[in-house]
Amino acid sequence: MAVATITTLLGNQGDPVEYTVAAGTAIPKGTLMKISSSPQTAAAATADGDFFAGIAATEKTTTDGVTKMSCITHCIAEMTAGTGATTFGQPQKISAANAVIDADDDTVAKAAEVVGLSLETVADGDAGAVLVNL
Amino acid sequence: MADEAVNITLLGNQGDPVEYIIATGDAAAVGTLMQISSSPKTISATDGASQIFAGILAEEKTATDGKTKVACWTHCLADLTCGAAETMVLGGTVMTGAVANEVDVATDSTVEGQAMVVGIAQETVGNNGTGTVLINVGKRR
Repeated sequence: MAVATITTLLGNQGDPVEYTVAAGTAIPKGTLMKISSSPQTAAAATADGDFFAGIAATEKTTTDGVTKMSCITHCIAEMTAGTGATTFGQPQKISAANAVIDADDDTVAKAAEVVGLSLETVADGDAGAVLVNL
Repeated sequence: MADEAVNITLLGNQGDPVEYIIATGDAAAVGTLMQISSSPKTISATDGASQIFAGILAEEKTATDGKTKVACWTHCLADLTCGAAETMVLGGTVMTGAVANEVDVATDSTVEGQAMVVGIAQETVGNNGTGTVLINVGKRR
């Protein structure tokens, strides 16, 4: 799936939060990130149930030696709809790498899995606006 | 319309305004509580309980000004009117009310839906009283 495209930074320049990332991983800018381990370590989100950390604010390659990355936590972003419903007004969750679908009650109860609020209804594979506010 | 939000304190970056689409013939005053009424990103004035809250209208919209885009504040403190026979309680969540621009106490299903939450009451007021609400649209809780 295509990475997210941030269209509007909200808060203070998108309220970036710095996380630790593994040095050897490649992370394109705009990747939907998850909190993968303690303390404050992030990786690309890949599946339902991931704890959403934000959107990668910078490019990371496998060889750049970078071990810290900022994630945007307050913005409007175009995200790709995964397989399943993506409906305006519904909280969204990760469904696959860089893909979101409507969250279920269980996801909402575990607030950390919520990616944001969908602002439009889109078909599977299409991009739609999501309000992110972690 | 009556009961628009007043005494608005902008938080975040100037209230974190978000631009939405609006029908060109709609009319609404500054401070109107707005709902996301259709896809994509289209809003109208709230007019019933448990609607998807978009924010507080940040600019005047008349039926003849030709505008099709307006901004809503999404992060602020605002004085809102509590619905009749309702009591919003300090620390409790409120949702769009049965009457335009009023808020009612949020139900469990509203809170689970998240998008229907207008904000968190900063004081206890009831029965058409006016109280401060912390608004932060889209904030996961």
